[in-house]
Amino acid sequence: MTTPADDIRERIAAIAKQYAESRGWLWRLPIEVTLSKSSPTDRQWTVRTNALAVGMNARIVVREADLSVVDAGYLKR
Amino acid sequence: MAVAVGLWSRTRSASAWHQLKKPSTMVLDSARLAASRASGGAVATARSTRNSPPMYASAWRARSGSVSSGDAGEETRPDDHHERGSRCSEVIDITRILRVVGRVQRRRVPAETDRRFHSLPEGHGETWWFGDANYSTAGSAEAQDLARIHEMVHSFLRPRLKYLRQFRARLNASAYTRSAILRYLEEGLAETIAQLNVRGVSGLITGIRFPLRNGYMTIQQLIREGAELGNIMVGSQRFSVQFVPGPSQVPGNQGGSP
Repeated sequence: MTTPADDIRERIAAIAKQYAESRGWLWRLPIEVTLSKSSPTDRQWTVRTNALAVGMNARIVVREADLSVVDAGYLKR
Repeated sequence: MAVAVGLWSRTRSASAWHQLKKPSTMVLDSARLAASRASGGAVATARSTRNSPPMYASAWRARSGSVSSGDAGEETRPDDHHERGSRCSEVIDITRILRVVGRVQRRRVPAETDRRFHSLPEGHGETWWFGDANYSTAGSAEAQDLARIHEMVHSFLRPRLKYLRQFRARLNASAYTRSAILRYLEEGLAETIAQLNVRGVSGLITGIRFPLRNGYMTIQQLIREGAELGNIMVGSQRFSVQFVPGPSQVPGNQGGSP
């Protein structure tokens, strides 16, 4: 049974994956999706790839309201 | 192939290795072999090149510990990075090689796992929380060295001794994940050491700027964390704990002074 929070996480992960692939970043599993900012007007989620290792990590911040990428970065090693 | 060679050489004398006709993988030194025959042992001089077959390379990988390297279609052993461009020869006990090969055969790595090491772009690398490192050998020698030394520093900072290793690895991972300052320090240190080794003092600024350069973390995050007391993770939510200055909550005192 999926909850709304699981559903939004999957959508956020899909947006982040699309963004990473468009920038040519490696998309390595597992990923970590964290609610990094929460206020009545704005909620932002941070997706971090390759969560079990240091290196080849993409960090993508997605705003929940319009599913837009607010901030992103990549650490290649 | 490795099993066949192993069984074959167990049942015959070491001199039969000479008839194997594989000069690119293993060349026997006749003088040393004669000396070993006299002493009753089986000693060979193994000359390995960068075109070593998978059997020999995997034996080296098994002996060399947890650091592995990979790129498209090329098998190398870690020592090649130290002796790039020159051939190396070492004296290896054949029985030891056979033991290692046998061990590799028993613990065969699944193809899916092994394939992962052959797909890293130039300059990429990763280190797991227990210190196992993996880096790309694609690209120039300089890029390879930068990636290798960077991952070595990460690997050095991970727990290796078995006592409380799980706990220490989790503590390490938690600190790295939660704190932008610690993340900056570790990444900056690793890249600065790599740059100083490869490019000298001219790479110092590149090393210091490395964590911030690709937007992996921002200066704003570092400053904000300086004001934090800490943060609390509950499920997938992170709460930042900070002092927020405000008016006093004491009844009858609206001025803000205690």
